Amino acid sequence: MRQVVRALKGLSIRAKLNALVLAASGAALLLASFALLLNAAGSIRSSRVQQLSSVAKVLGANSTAALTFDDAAAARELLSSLSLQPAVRFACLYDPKGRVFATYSGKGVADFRPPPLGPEGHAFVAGNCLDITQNIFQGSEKAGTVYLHASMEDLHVQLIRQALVVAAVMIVSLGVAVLLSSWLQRMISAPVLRLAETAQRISATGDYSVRVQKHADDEIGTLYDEFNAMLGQIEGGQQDLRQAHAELEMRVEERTRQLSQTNQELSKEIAERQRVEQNLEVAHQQLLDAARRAGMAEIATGVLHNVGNVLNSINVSATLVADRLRGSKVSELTRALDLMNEHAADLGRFVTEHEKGKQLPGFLDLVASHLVRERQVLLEEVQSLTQNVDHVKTIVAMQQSYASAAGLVETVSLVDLVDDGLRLNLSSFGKYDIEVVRDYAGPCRIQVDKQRLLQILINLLRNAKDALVEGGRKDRRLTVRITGGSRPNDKTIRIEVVDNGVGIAKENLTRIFSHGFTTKKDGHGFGLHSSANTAKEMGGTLTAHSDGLGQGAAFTLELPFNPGAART
Amino acid sequence: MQQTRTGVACLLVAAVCLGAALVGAGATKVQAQEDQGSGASREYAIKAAYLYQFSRYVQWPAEAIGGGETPFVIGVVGSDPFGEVLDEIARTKKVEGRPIVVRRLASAADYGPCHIVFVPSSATAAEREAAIRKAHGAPVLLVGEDSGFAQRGGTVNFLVEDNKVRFEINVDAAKQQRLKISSKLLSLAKIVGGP
Repeated sequence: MRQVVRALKGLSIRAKLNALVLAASGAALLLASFALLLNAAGSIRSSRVQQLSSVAKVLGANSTAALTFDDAAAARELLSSLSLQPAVRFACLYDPKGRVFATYSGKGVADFRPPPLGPEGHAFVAGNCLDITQNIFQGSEKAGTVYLHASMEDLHVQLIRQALVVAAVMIVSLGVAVLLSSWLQRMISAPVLRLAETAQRISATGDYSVRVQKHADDEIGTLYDEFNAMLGQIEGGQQDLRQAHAELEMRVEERTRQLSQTNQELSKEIAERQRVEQNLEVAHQQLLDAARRAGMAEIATGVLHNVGNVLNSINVSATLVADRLRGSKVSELTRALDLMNEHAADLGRFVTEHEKGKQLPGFLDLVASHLVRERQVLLEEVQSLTQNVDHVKTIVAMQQSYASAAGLVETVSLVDLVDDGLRLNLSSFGKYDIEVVRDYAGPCRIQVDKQRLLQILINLLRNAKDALVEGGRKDRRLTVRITGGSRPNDKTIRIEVVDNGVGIAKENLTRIFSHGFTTKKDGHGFGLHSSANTAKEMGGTLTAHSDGLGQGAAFTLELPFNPGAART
Repeated sequence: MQQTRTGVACLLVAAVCLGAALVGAGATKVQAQEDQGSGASREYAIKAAYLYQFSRYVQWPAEAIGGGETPFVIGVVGSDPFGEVLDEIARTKKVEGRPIVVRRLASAADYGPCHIVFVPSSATAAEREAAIRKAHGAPVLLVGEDSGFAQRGGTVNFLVEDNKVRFEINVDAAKQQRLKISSKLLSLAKIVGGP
């Protein structure tokens, strides 16, 4: 259906009008024909029923005597007159008691078995057949019944003949309708086509001054008027449009000019911005350089600080050696030698008889033992001195290799290392009467950068000493504690340096590791900062704890425990 | 059991017969009913019915049939072979609204205004001839049952063919008697002429 509609849409208006008339009149004719045929079929059937009913009635009336006088032969003869009715295929006469009295079979009906007697009337039965049952009366008495069985096949032929006639009439009517419509439709299609042609001409030539000629006052006439009016409007509108177009072009030109100007400005601005970015790049580079230099300065400060620390110890040792040498008993020995030279001639007598001479051997003995002791002290001090000098050497070497790699990692005894640190500060501990407590969980060996660890330890110990001196207590005590690392599955080792000195104010606890922060009069705020950095570089942490001023402090160095399994 | 039942039936029939013999008057009636199925009685029952039915297919002249409630008369000459059958018909049927009267005629000369006269085979030849003579030219349907009866001047004569009751019609006699016989009836009859 939709396809049909779509196909119709593509047709010309003339074809559409023709199709319209054809469809309308065709539908009407079809409907009429159908009704006609239906009616014809009905009337053919009912006339057949009437015809056969009257045949049955006549037959019945004629058969009364035969029935009355029980003459079946006569009855059969009567029935045989039905051969004039070819539609009757068979017939039967029943006596009043319903018994078969006589039968008749039409041509070609071989096997006929009379049905049992049914009620009076007619019935259409299967096989397109008609049954008629007609009672026969003689006066008021029932004389018998006629039964007819007729075929209605021939009715179809009649119906088809009727249908053919109807179809022929319909075709002729349609033809007339089409002819009439194709003549009449021009009244509608011609003006429409003329309008379409005009519209085509206008769109082809662009000439809007053309007008269509009106021929009728119907809707199409109105359409013509409106079309002409529209053309007038378009003509006028075109003028305006041309003007507007020119204006618009002008405006576009202006705008383009403005835009190109803006574009130029923008590209200038972009160039400017690029230049600024370049400058920024340079400044950034300079800043980086400055930062690097600042870092180097920080390192230099660290080195100087460490070297300074060691130099203190060296100075102490040197002063001690000088003091010892100054107070040496060598002069006493010189005096004894002078006395011996004075009495060189009679040395034996002088030693045995003279008062002073008797005391000489004892004196010499005393001097000798004293010198031996002195030599011992000096040797120790010189050893400490050598160690400190070694430390300075190490610091310098470390500084030289700072950028390249981490320091030398070796397997050392942690206890020995901590003891070394203590020993390096021993003199100052002795000087300020500081009690040192060593609390080691057990001997352990670790893989560590020995010099850096030692440096951290020295820093922590020196700070502790300073805090103890400043705290001013009588029982100054410094505790060094090593925990962890005694078992092979320990992950970390902890070295704690605890003092009961001046302590740290709460507000300073977080700041003490910052570069340049110090609470000491002569400090430069570098020791703890570099120690914390170093600890971090070694993969560990350095933390501080204090309950406040006067409460002492505890510094904890935590390092990853690496026992150096291959060496132990 | 079967035997017992048959025995009872026989006993019953015997009792009825005895009863009928004792009653006497009703004997003929019972006999006729009893013999309804037997050849002779069945034949006369049919013939009685036919006598009545002839009235439907035969038109009598107007003066013979009379007007209004004038009875339709059927006469039987001599000894009546129908028994009660004809009386039964006369009692229950009517001819065009008229009652039927059956008259037993001692001789053919007796009958007056009859519409149908039946001459049974038990009648003597003389009686038959008398009846024919009497009926000649009179509006009466003369019915017999002896071969040659129609040819000699009877209007209708019953025959028995193939165990069926058929009839002959003498159209000449009918014409003389001014009786119009329906073609339907004629089509069923053997048509004879004479004398």
